[in-house]
Amino acid sequence: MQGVPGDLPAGAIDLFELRRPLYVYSIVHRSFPGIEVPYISSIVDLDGGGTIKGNLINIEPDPEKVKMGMPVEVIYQIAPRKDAEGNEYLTYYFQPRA
Amino acid sequence: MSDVYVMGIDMIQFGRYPDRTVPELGAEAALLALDDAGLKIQDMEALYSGNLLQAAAMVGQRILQEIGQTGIPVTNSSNACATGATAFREGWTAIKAGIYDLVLVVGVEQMGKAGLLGGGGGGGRGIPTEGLLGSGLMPAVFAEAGQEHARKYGTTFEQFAKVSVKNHKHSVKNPKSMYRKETPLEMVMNAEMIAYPNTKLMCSVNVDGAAAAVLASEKKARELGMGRAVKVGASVLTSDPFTERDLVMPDVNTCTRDAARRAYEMAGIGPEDVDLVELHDCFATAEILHYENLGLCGEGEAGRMIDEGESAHGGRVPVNVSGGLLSKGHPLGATGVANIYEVSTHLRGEAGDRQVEGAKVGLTHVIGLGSACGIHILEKVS
Repeated sequence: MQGVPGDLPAGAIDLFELRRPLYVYSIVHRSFPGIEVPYISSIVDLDGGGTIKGNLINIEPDPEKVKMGMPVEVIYQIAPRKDAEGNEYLTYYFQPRA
Repeated sequence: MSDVYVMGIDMIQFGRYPDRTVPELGAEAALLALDDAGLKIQDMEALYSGNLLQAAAMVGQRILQEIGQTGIPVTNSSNACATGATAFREGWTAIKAGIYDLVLVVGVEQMGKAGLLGGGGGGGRGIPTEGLLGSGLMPAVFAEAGQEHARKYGTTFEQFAKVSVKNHKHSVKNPKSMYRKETPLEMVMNAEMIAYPNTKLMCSVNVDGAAAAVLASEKKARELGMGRAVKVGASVLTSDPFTERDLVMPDVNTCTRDAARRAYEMAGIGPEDVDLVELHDCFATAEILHYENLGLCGEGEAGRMIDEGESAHGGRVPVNVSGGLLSKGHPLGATGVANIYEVSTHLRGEAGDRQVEGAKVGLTHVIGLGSACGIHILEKVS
């Protein structure tokens, strides 16, 4: 599976794949203090039902570039934030699919 | 069951009142509405109070501490941005049920410069999810709802922006509006981008405000005189039925469509009979959706409707002639009652130089995310 962090124990989490296009998005330019902007809030339907929201990355946050209906895929990365105890979290992102 | 009539209704000018308390703002609106009805707090048999941000703080009782603790039953309602409409409907329900002949409704909110509302996580364990798993902030949530319309029908950034141009222009003539400045199209489109396609001028204004109404049974309304009475032709509240994407993309459409259908049925009219509408333009993108949700135009025609000025003052069906949430302001718990004030004022022919001439029927609509939709249809009596 693409984009799965190498140090994740096998079976630690039920990761999913995605072949559906980007449904809709918004490019957020103003957020809470400390949250890096801009980011692309994106909504994608899952194969087999259900819908998730996440950041679309590896594309310029520009409505000329981001197109509703464009093919996207899911990748997994360690989140760039830690909790108060210093624990790391695994998160998912969307990125354009070639 | 008795019909229900608005006998008195008023609002304070929306604005920022940092030196005053929520009960003080609510009390001022309550007294204005009582004066408008020519009645006193001693005449009221119950109070229905709507407030969101102090939902646990007995706002209704504290209003009575300001204007008269007569010992009447008080119900405090909280239902997100549908809070005021919900309180109004609680009063309507009680009169319909024959329990009371005269009740007071107050919607009040003090927001200050609340900043961004919404967003996810971070309050406790784990890490904040805002900006990591997309956005839960209201400007983005309603941007995404608008983008769904754009995806289906090709609605443009410019068309969304025109909503803001229209509502700001309307507000110039409303002395109770927070802002009263025209904002030309370039100004709206070039304003700071908050969440594409919503710029700062396409987001509603966080303000303090209060509005209140006195409701009466038909028997009591006849006794008091129907001269300025406004009939409540329909009062409908819905929640969001399950739809496929609702959990991540709050569905403001289905609950509005359900409510509109029931409201038209209850009032025995159709959307073509409506002379003016105050709808929930929390963001410019939202107003476009609700043209279709409320049946004011056909499916996919909302972009054309704003382009051709059909929803502007003087157009086929004027929408948000008060200035709407975008310019008049959006004090959450007060908004639903203030919308009813606006429509009632036109039906009474008392809206001054922003009067919609010959208005006989009007509709108000609010959406509280999570979700609740409140719709009222109001009718001129005499």
